[in-house]
Amino acid sequence: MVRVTAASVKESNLTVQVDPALVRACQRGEPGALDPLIRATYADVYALSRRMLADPDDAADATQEVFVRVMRSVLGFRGESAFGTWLHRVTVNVCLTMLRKRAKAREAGLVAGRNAFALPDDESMLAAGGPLPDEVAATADLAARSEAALATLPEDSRAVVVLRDIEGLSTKEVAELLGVTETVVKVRLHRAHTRLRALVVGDGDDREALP
Amino acid sequence: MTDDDRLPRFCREARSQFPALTSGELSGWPLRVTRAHVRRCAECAAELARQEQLSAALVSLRDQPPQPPPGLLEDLLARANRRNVRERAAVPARGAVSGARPGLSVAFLTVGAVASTGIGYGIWRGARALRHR
Repeated sequence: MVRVTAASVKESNLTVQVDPALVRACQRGEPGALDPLIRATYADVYALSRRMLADPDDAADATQEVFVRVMRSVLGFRGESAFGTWLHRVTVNVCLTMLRKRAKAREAGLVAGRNAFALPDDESMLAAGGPLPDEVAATADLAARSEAALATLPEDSRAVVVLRDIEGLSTKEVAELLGVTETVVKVRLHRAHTRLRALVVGDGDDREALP
Repeated sequence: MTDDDRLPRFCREARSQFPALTSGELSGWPLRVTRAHVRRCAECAAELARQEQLSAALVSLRDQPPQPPPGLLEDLLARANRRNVRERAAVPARGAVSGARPGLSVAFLTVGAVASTGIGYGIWRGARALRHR
């Protein structure tokens, strides 16, 4: 499993500003120092998790896990990057771990979605829990339609779109984060965008892009 | 076979570059070839316009993050304030030796270092005196 290193990701769009003194207070284990840190950052952590996982309950679990890791690892934060960037990496790693676990559970037939026992490559299975394409197309607002369409993507494609298009990372950075080549990122992005264009903008023939 | 596979090769290759084109990551020869193709192909030009709409829609999502569910903050704060979590988080900061404060750890370590150096010096002096006899 590829873990994100300090050098691998530039300043991300998790732009929440955290007072360095607050981080140092957490590192010293001062009582009460964690609370304002959590208050300042939890909404951003949840938003990123929600988009990567496309499930509100999983996103809440991921947010809990992120802050457990933060509490355990904050001593290892040496301030080489902004705290927000470090927190972003922790969040992405937690979400990727959850996605891998979910994929394994799905392969074992342990996760019940719309098609509980479909094969891992079955696209309709991958939309489990998200809206159906027809439901997406019926949504009037473009942003809401984009958000709903994101949830219909296969998990690997969704992670690429969220990290690159919404979080603003480069193709190279996304490849490093996901532990795949840049070519794989580009292929996933192309397929995801073809599908999203059909769902969000519409292309007149309602085609399905993914095999 | 997907619809992409049924497209002419130039259209297929040009469209595969659209995400990079709209994000500004495409440069050099691939950029020139893609732009030249879009100028000649009306269908790909229309597809690029849709891609630009999509990219704008996705970027707009940055300003509309999903809102956390009610109660999540309270859960997080309650968990953070649980005694065992705080202790796990704080142990190294509380002093590796004293288990209380880093300052006390430093004091213990300094006293230990001075004492062991003194004992070592005493043993060395004693051994040296024995050898001279």
